[in-house]
Amino acid sequence: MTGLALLLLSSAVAFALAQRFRLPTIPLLILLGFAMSRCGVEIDRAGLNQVIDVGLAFLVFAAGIELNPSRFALQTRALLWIGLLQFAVTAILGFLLGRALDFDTVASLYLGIGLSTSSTLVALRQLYRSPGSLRTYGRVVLGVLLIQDIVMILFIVLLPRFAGGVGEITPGVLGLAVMAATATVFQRYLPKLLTKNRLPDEETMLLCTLAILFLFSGFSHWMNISFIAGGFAAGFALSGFPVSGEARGVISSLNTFFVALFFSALGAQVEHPDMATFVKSLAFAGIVLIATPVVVTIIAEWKANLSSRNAITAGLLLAQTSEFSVILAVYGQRLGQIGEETVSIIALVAVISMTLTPFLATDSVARRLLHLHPLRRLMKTDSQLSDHVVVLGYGSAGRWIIRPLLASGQRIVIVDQDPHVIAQLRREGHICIRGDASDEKVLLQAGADKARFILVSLHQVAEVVKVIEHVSSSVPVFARVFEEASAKKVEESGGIPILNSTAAADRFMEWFELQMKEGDSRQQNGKLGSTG
Amino acid sequence: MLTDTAFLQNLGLIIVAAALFSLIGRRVRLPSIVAFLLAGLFLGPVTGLVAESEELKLLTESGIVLLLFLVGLELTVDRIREVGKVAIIAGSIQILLTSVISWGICRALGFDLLQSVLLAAALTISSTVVVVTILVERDESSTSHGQAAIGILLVQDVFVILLLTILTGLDGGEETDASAITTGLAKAFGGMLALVVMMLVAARYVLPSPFSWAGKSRETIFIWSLSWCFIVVTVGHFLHLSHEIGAFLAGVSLAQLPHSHDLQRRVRPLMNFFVAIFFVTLGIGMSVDVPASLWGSAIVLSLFVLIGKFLIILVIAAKLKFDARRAFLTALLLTQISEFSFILAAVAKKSGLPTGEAGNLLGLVGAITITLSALLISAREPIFSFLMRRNLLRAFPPPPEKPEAETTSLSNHVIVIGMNTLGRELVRRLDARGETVVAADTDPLKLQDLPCIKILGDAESPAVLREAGLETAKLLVSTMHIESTNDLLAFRCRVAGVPAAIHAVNLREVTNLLDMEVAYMMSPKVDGIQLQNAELSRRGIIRK
Repeated sequence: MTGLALLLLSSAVAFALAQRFRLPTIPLLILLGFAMSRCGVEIDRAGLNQVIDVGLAFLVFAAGIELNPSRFALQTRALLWIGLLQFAVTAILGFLLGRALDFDTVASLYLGIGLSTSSTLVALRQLYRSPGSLRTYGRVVLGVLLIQDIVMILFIVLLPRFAGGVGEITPGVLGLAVMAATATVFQRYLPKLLTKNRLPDEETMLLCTLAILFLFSGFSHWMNISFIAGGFAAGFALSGFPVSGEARGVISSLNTFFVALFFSALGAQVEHPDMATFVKSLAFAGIVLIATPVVVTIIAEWKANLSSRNAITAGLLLAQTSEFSVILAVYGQRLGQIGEETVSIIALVAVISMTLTPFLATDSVARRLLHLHPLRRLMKTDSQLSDHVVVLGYGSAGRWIIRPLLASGQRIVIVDQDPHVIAQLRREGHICIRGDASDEKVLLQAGADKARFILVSLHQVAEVVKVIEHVSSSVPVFARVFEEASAKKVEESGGIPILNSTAAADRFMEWFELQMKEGDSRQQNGKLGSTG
Repeated sequence: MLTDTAFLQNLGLIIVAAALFSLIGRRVRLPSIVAFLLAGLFLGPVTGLVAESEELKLLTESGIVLLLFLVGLELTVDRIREVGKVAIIAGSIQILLTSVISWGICRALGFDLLQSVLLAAALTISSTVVVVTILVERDESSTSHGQAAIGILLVQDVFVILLLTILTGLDGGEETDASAITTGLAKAFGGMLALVVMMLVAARYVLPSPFSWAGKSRETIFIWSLSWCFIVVTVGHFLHLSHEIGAFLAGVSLAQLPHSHDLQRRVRPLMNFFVAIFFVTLGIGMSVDVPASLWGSAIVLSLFVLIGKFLIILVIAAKLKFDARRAFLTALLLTQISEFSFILAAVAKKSGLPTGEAGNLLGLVGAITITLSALLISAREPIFSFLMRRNLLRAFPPPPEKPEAETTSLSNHVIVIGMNTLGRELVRRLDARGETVVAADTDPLKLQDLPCIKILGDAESPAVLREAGLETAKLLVSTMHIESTNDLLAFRCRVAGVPAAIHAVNLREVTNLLDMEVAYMMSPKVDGIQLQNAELSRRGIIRK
């Protein structure tokens, strides 16, 4: 009990520091766990191992639940390109560095693979900080993380078997296939079962969810593949809608609890690294911090049609190692395949790279790096344009904007990032520019300074403010925003805000009044009808 | 393939069995505690799949800690003042009466003096875990009978601590060190007093401001409060107090926080997990091969616990002027012996007392009374109306006409999820229109200064929707930007038959929401464009 209290205490401090300094929690949990054991606080070893085991199961389980194929968002091919190439390049570089630093082949393999996965927990946290991102590069990041996780699970199962050659690898692959097939069947049919029957109470839901976790883990153990793969498959089995939502709801607090304990316990177990280990870790972290963003940026721009700036931000967001890397290391050590030093290095790289993410994956860093981008063409300006309307951001509802403009005889120029949107607009004969609307050069090309007025709808208010700063103050800029706080920022920088939320509230209330009137006339006990 | 998988394997078997038995149990309306005990019996004595071991001790102990922490979280200091006095009076008299009578019965059954004392003590205490689990499961821990029962149980807990202090002082049996016992008792009382004072001071002066800072993130405050709970338990342990008391006081000290409701919701699944393990392990440890000679005594003592204890508490409740219903429910809740009864026997044996068969006997009585009392409690309504019809509870003032109102009686209200600008705007406008509005968000700052009923919590959790009264609402509105949450809310509304107005984040979301037959889709983007066009035409830039 004292051990548990101490682990929780160090987790509590880690959470507080993370909140105070806006850092990811995982590296702080590991560091504080480590600090605690350094200060001579003894925690019973068997207890630590129990916590680590249960924590492992929960981590992979929760990752599996997020394995919803809808996350691929019709970009499967592009995401596969980015995910697999990034994984391969980082793994190879890591392996080579490992060999160069005199690690044996197995340890170098672990190091290489340990570097190649990025952290879902860290990246998601960062993405949620700028909500607009989820609609642009966020999707790419989430998809890539998914692919990395799957590849990582493959390696966790197969890595221990490489020594045994084909004879060992084949049953492993077969076992995985059986497990994946079982999980897919569950994923398909559980939702039907759930929609047919009324939901059981939360306690039963919780126990059933956990029972599925343990059944899969037991199954994988029985087939002699890692229980980690079983936990992941169990998560996938529950990833169909609406099962995933229910499952996430019931396990969320268990997950927070065990994952916090897991990383603290892990930190408490890591040996004190000497200077040499530390330097080596810095070298490995260097690979993650440089290779990953470069590879992701190039392919994301090329295959996923992201703008240069968004591609760079996506790359920076993925430039850290993952909780899965740490799992791989713990697992390898338990199997006796790698030693203390390798585990320490993988843990240290995770701590370093995760801690840096919030500082690196920012808009301002991306903008600065944009200057290094070799393919950033200088576009010629169209000098004929003047007294026109510039539409920044077209999206799915753009035709509602341009139709009344065209009807009143305005000339328009449209700027959007999505190549499909641009292609369609070109077919319709509109003048349009594909690019980053907050980029000065793009604005110049659109003739923003000589425009009659500008209509802006961009995902992040910082981008809107950039636009307003770039164009001359004589051009009115109308900016559609959702939050009151954004409207205030637009107003302060000289733009004219239009609050989407107020408009939506007006509409909603109109509908609501109508429903209430209908309800009254039908004497329907106040229940609302179901016509939209 | 890890070096040691026995722990995970056992844990897995326990969870799977618990899930299976509680699913089956639900079909035949078996209380979940009984289902868990049966699962344990199946895994242990019947099949021998899982052996009793020390390995799971940390998990089961944590279960008890979290259970009491949860109970504490529901009690504000004012509430304690209300029930405290009643509990102390009822608890002390109950202990006195029950132990004297059960001592007499044991003597009559032929047990020697010492064994009878031990058995009497063990029969006197009821099981905090059983009672609180039942109460929490039925959302009754803050009802008047629930709090009376919990109060009596806590007084019993103090009694157990005193007993354990005495028993450990009895080292060696014959040579009773009176001074050691006295100092032990003094220490126990002193420790209790110290912890209570510490918690009161902490609740008043120390905790509020750091916890409201931590409350900015749900994760942080959750981990903080768990950490606080286990630290207090550890401190209590050093003061020779039970885990239960430490956890309970830790809970009470956090109960005054505005976040306590959300914390309760979040601690509960964690507690459920651990408590299920606790009961299954209890079942695993039950021994079924008791010598036949003990069965007679076991049945007599079990009957005493089930009926005698019930009557004793009824009598006390009559003196304290409980109404019929409260008296009946409180008494019925306490008709079992505690897992501490076994510990008491074990400690006595360790201290070298000639306990004889007392340990085995108590195990049997525990199994019988815990199972039967759980069954009786789940059949309490028919039993109560039977007693009322036969006029057997006439000594009590009749219960108030309406049984205690279900915590909230919301109906025909509008639930708004997500307090972004749109959500806050809708809450204000609906309120101005005279609607009853319930607003939910995870951020206390966003809920501030809204004219409505506020719920701090994650809309994905079914408990939040239950608290918001989804079943009886006339409309649920979600302004959230997160597709998966919106889909889930739309789904839950369809299941509950409540119309939903959901924010359609993008085109794919529109299809999902159509599938879910939502009543209205909000599309701020399109609406914003309309507003913009209106603005442009007002300025004469475009024609209407």
